Formats: sequence, structure tokens, C-alpha cells
Amino acid sequence: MTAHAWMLLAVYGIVLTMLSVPLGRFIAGVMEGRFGFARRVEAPLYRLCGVGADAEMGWLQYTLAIMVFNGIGFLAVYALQRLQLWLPLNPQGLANVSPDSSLNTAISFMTNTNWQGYGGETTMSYLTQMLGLGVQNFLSAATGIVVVIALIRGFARHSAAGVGNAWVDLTRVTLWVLLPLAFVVALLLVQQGVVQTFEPYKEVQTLETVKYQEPKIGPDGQPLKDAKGDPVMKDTSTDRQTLAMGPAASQIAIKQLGTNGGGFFNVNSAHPYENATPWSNFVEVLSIVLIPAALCFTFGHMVGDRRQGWAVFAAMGLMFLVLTVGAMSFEQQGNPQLAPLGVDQAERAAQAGGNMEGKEARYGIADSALWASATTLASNGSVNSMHDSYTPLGGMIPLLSIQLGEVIFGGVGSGLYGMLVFAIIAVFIAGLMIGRTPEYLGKKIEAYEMKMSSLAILIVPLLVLGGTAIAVMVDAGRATIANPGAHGFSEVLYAFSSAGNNNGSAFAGLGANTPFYNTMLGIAMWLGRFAVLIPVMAMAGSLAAKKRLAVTSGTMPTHGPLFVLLLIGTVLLVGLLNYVPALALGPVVEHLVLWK
Amino acid sequence: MTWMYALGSVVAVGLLIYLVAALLAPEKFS
Repeated sequence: MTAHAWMLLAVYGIVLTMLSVPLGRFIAGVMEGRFGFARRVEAPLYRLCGVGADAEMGWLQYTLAIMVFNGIGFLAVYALQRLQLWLPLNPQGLANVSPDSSLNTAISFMTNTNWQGYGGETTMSYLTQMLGLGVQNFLSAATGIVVVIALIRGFARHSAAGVGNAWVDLTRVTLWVLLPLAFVVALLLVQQGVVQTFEPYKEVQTLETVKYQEPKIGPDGQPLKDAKGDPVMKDTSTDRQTLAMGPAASQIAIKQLGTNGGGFFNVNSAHPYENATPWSNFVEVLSIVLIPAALCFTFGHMVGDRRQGWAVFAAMGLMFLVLTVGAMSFEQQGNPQLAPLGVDQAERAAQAGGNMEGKEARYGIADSALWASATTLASNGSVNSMHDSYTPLGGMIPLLSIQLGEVIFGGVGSGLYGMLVFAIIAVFIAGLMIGRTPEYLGKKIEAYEMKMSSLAILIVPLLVLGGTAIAVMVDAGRATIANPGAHGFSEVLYAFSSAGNNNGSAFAGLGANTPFYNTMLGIAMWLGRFAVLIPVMAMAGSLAAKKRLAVTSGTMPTHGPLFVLLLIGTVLLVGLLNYVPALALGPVVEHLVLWK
Repeated sequence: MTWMYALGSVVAVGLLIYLVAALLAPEKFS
């Protein structure tokens, strides 16, 4: 760890806390309909859509509304991709997307995963990016937030039949939280040089002539192959380059704020038009965690005890700090196999030192590792460095961060509802230890809540480990692994971890744009979202219907350091133990081989 | 895909169904 890394962490933590506290209070106000101006603007919208703003929904009705809403979004994104050649705003004339890739991408953006098996600038028209992917960036984020708001209402209300109105909640969070924040962040990014234009791609002359090899193409339009089946290559050179353009800044703002993560360009925020300067880098990495952190304080406000929000924030913050310091330290150590070759990996005034493979020279180790940590802990999935090129243990941190269940800040909404599920399990464990009926925020935790919590916790490891096992057993899964051995296994494990936990980042190195991976990962993303969301909503309904218990001397406080430690222990034990054998086969073996 | 993979898959799926059933309705297994 360098002095720069410690300073970056300190500034990041301070700015994040200072912004998320008032934002959390604001979100609580918006969701409780406390702002008269907002209500007056919303009223005509509800009248137009025939929505009764005061009509409460039970948990099942609320869930069905969300699922129908998301289902329509899925169909819209799928159709836009399949028809983009004949639709406007396609200056490059990009072809219609294949059925399996369209299916994967539609599920990916509808579930807030934003896994990308395609390259943005070579696959998607401006219209598909804006009307399909960009709109889903807002709506999938709104979906996560309204689900956690419904769960919080479950704790805050008592003897109630409803958990809110899904249409009203979706409108409020999109209109008053996501749109204004995205507008401000987009302007900041444009000011820093992130592109926002409808102009077609630019042909420019390069400073030097570049020589390279490319496959020879036969008369049938396919690459020629030699007797061994390898492609026949030819030498070529060019002094021209195509610069991809597009309305990127507006997409990137919501991509970060909504913990979506889907890049406008293929290399995501490692592209200078998507992340132009260290300042834009800071704005983007801050935006990743801002709303998930703010929701902790929204929780505290809505349940009427701000200390509860601070306790959850503290648990998340401590785990975030430890994992980020780990990622920074492992990457700063460098690669031991490069040292004998005379490569200088020490930090100096003119270089960041450490393992710089796959990292932007503009950002160095600290800004790359902080991003890697934030994007995987917060279920974002955008990258400014290539996680595949991290040292084995440095790469294990993002992998582990995803596998902990995306509850350390996590996705917008989904992170907090995941953490509250862990909190319920934590109070249950504490109840078993002291022999009392567990309760959380005045609600008795009974068999029904534990069953739903167990389902929510167990489904994702099943998807991740089951999917990985199938992928490494069948030929279709092994065929596109670029690196054999432990690293190749890590790539497959990362892909399923990312999809099942709705993260969306990729370890790269794995050719995932195949019918097998598009379908398998699509299933993992779909179930990873809705098979968790439904039990959470069921719990929200059950908790809202319960009576509130009075606080007595026997009530375990859930706002102090003891509960914070208990919560961290539960997350680590339940989250980590599921994956230890798989991690041992991947990054741990690779580390031992590298450092032998 | 060998017969061992197939057998392993059947056992794993069977165990999964049993454990989920035991989670949702433990009283039926007492």
C-alpha cells in the first residue's frame, strides 16, 4: 500500500459518507411522499395511467407488478436488438443482433446485471444503446430500490396488509432520485471529456504506421485455415484508425449510479471516451457506491431509528475497507516472475509500480484496485482495468467480493435487501445462542422468515457452483476457455459468480458470446434476480402483517458494535464457506504456482 | 459425459429436492 492509496481511500470514504447521509434522508422523504411539489407533478401521471396513488398493494400484487414491468422491459430490449438494422439512429449500419446474444443482453439489462457478451461499439446502434439499454439502466435500478423500500416498510409498519404501491414507488424513485442524479453526473463527465454525440464514427490518421497480422479471408468470406486447422495469417499495416463515438456520457452516468455497469464501449471505463481523466474516474467510482450507501440511511430514517442505518453502513464499510486494502496490497506486490527479467516494479515518482498488466497508466494500482473492489462489491460490473490480468490473489478479491452475495453496499436496493436478509439470519443465530425468540426491529423472526431467508441465500450459490460445474464438464463450456488450468477455471467461476449475483463484470479470457454461455448465463442472471427477489417480497409482506414488539431488557440491540460484528461474521461465514473449495481450485492454486 | 457424471448429477439433484422439501416443510420429516 502506498501513501497515495491510503489518501485515496480516506478521501473516498469521507466524500462518500458526506454525500450518502443527506441523499439517504432525501430518498426516504421521496419514498414517503413528503414533498408537496413532487406529489403535484406526479398526480397527472397517475391519472393518465389510471393508477390509484393511495391504493396499497399486498406483497404478491406488488411482486407481480414488478415482474410484469420487467417482463415488458425484457421484450422491448430484445426487439430493439433484433430489429436495429431497420430502425433509426444507426449511422454505422450495424446488423441485427443474434437471437442468443439478444436474449442474454435483454435478461442482463432487465436484471440489473449488465453482463455484456458483445462489444458495444461494434454491435449496438445508438438507438439500442439509448432506448433499450439506457432505459433499462434506469428501470432495473428503480426495481431494486422499490423492493428494498417494500422490505423496509415491512419492518416499519405493523399489522398492515400492504407494502406500498409498486407503480407509485417506481415513478418516484425514477423521477426524483435517478434522473436528477444521472443528469448531474452526466454533465460532470461531459465537462471532463467523456463524449456525448450522435455523430458517426471518425476515421483519423494515426501518428505512426502500425504493422500487424490478420487472418486471410477466402472467397466464401470465412478465414482460411491451414492443414492443422489454424488460421492463415498475412502481414498488413495501416495508418488509419476508426474512433467510435456516441451518446456515452448520459449512459455512463446511470450505468454507475444504478450499479448497472454495462459499458458503452467494449472496454468499459478503461476507454478514454468513457472515462477521460482521474477526476472522471473519481466521479464514476464514487457514483458506483453512492446510492447503495445512501439507502442504509434511508433504512434508518424509514424505520424511525437512524442508528440502525449507521450499523448496517458500518458493517458494509468495514468489509469494503478490508477487501479494498487487500486488492491494493496484492496488486502493489507485483508479479514475482517479472522480477528476474529485470522489470522494475517498485513505486516511484514516475511510475505506479506493482502489477500494471491490464491497468491504465492514467490510473495506476490504487485507482484501479479501488474501482475493482467497488464495482464487484457494489454489483456494478463496470471496469477501468482488466481483472483477468490481476495477480491470483488480487483477482480473487473481486471474485470473492461478488461471491459474498453483493451485500457489501451491493446493487442499488438489492444490496441492502440482501444485507437485511443476512441481518435476519444474524439475529436468528444470536437467538439460538441466548435461547430467546429472535426479533429484529421489533418484529418476531419466525419459521416463515427463516425459510424465505434460507431460500434467498441458497439459490445464488446453487446457480454459481452448479453452472460452473456444468460448464467445465461439457465440451461447449470448455471450448472457449482461453487459459487452460487453474486460471481458466477461475474465468468460468467468475462468469457464473458475476451472472448469478447480477454483477456483470467479466474476468475476460473466456469467450462467452456463444449459444451455450449466452443461454446458461442468461438463466443464472434471471434466477439470480427473481428467485431472490420473490422470497424477499414474501418476507416484506409477512413482516408488515406482524405486530410490533415492545423493546425490553431482553431485546438484543441491533445498532451497536456487537451486532455489527455479528453481521459481518454471518456474511463472511455464510458467504465465504460456500465458495472455499471452488476458490481453492482456482485463484489459490494459481497463487501457489506463481509464488512457488 | 460419462455414466459417472450422469449418476453424480442424479444424486445431486435428488439431494437438492430432498433438502428444499425439508427446508419448506420440516414437520413432514420429523
